Amino acid sequence: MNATIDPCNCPPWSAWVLDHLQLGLLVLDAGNHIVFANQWLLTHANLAHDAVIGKPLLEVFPQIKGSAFERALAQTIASGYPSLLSQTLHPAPLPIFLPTSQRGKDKLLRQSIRIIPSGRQASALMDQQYTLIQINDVTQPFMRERLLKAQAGRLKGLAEVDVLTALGNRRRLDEVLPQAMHAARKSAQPLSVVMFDVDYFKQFNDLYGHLAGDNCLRQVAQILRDVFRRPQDLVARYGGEEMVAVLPETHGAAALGLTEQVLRRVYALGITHQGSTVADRVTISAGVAVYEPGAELSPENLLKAADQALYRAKSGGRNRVCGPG
Amino acid sequence: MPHSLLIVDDSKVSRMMIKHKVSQLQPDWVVLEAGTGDEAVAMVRDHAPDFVTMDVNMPGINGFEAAAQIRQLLATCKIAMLTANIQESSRAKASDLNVTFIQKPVTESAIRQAVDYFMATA
Amino acid sequence: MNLSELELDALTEVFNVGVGQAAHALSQLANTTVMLSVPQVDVISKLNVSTELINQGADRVCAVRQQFSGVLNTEAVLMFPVQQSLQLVQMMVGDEVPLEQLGEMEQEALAEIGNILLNSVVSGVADVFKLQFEGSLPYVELGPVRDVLCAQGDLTDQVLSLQIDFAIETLQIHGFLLFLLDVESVESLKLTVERFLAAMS
Repeated sequence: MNATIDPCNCPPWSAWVLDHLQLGLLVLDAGNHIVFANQWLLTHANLAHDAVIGKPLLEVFPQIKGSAFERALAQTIASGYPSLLSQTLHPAPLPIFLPTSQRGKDKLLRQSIRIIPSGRQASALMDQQYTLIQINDVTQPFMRERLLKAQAGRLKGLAEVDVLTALGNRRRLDEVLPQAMHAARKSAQPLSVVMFDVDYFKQFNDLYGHLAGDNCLRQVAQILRDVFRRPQDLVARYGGEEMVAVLPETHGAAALGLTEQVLRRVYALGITHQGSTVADRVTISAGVAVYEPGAELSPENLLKAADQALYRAKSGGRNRVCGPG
Repeated sequence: MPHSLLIVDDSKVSRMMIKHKVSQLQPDWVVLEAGTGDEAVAMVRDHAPDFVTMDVNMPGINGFEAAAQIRQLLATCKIAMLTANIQESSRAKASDLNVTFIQKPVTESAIRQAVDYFMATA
Repeated sequence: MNLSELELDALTEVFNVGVGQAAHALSQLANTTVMLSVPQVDVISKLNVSTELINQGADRVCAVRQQFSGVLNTEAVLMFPVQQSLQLVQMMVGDEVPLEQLGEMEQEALAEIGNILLNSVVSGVADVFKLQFEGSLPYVELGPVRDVLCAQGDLTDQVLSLQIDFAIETLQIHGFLLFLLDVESVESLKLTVERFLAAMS
């Protein structure tokens, strides 16, 4: 091993460098007394040079007694191998703060610590064995990472929302439906899926314009959200004017009942629709399909069954719901 | 007359290490070895050792079964069970069988602990 | 690497000393009982390690590496499947902070866990064989199994492999601890084990 600096012949800048390093350094001798503490450390630990040099480490930092830091230090000295104390498992082992001039209140810095023993070769070049403790302030990277993770979480959420209706989008449905079917199997409870379609929506758009069409969809979506409001329910936009409700722990009859409520409330909106041959206002049709745990059914086929029930509702006159079978 | 020790462990190296460390502490002891629980029972029948170190985890009959059989043959023999995992349920077995537990791995202090147990009011 | 069954047996016992100490240290870190199995020691090729990990469903792994040098030189590599690495860190960190990704913070926690295990195992070996080593700080790497294994050398290289089962409360994971040795170090190791066995017989 070649020391990059000859220990017997220190260059004139070494002391200056150590005191301007932007991280904390402590050097302990073979008896665990502090023989060096750099300026960064003294400043951030609010300690005077004379209060520290020559003193036992535990006297200067009594709070480390019984801590993981004390154990890691003992282990390093016993084995001769370096140790790492991660900020994740030990956020702030030493009492090190933002310099008080910058903050009214003492704020502990988040620390990543390395304990490095001098090893046989290096010790032989010096007068004894020393232990270096390097303290990195990782408060900033920690905050950055926390922010990034929160943003990533929000982005994921955004990517699964339909912008117009604020319902879940197709991606969300594709993610949730298999999970809901799996949960249904585990809990041995039926899962109902209802597919909704606004009657004569194309004609509505042609007559009243797309803005009115968008508004209509938003109002329908709101009703769906209001009726299917348990935390485990999912309502998603499936296509242009189609929406799907995924209802765990719900059997067919209950789903039918709730869907009829939706139909009535949409009717009660009273959105004028002169292009409809069913009524003078906007109405919707719906189809219900039920997944019984134990049945051999894929998510695609479950949706298809709901779609087929919807088709029956349409061909049966619209403004109605058709159930399974 | 020097004491005799039977070392029971399916690992040959483990037996070597125990024998080596015991011999450093008690050079005059006679040391016997067995690689399985069944072998151990047979050796107890033939040689009636004073002390036994017994690995708990062995193929065939495990250390507890072997210790139980040895107890039937020789109530006076002192048995130290060597195990990597000292659990509560084993403590119950320990008091039933009148044995002690030594934590593996087999370090010098572990062997010293075993020897002290054997020599206590011996 | 040509180690006899007796020599592998000896290495198992010697490594187990360090594994026992690591279990104790990790239990203190986790504040709950951490159980480590007696390591299964083999000399196998990197390809075998890779196949074994891929068969267990781990196409991506998290590895903690440390260099040890002395009378023999080795790079010690502790590997877990990525998903299990995350579970391990979660177990140590506690439930208050849910983890979804192996970000820098989580990797540093793994570095610490790996550092404790690797230092204990090598320390145990050093004590029993009366050898001296200098060790490096841990370095964490994430990636496909083959990339991590073949940063140097190739899949045909032989390694000294320890397989260790970790049990922490409800979590059970399987780790690979590999020792990569150059030709001289393999010779050194074999001599050391032979000397050790000879001293006892």
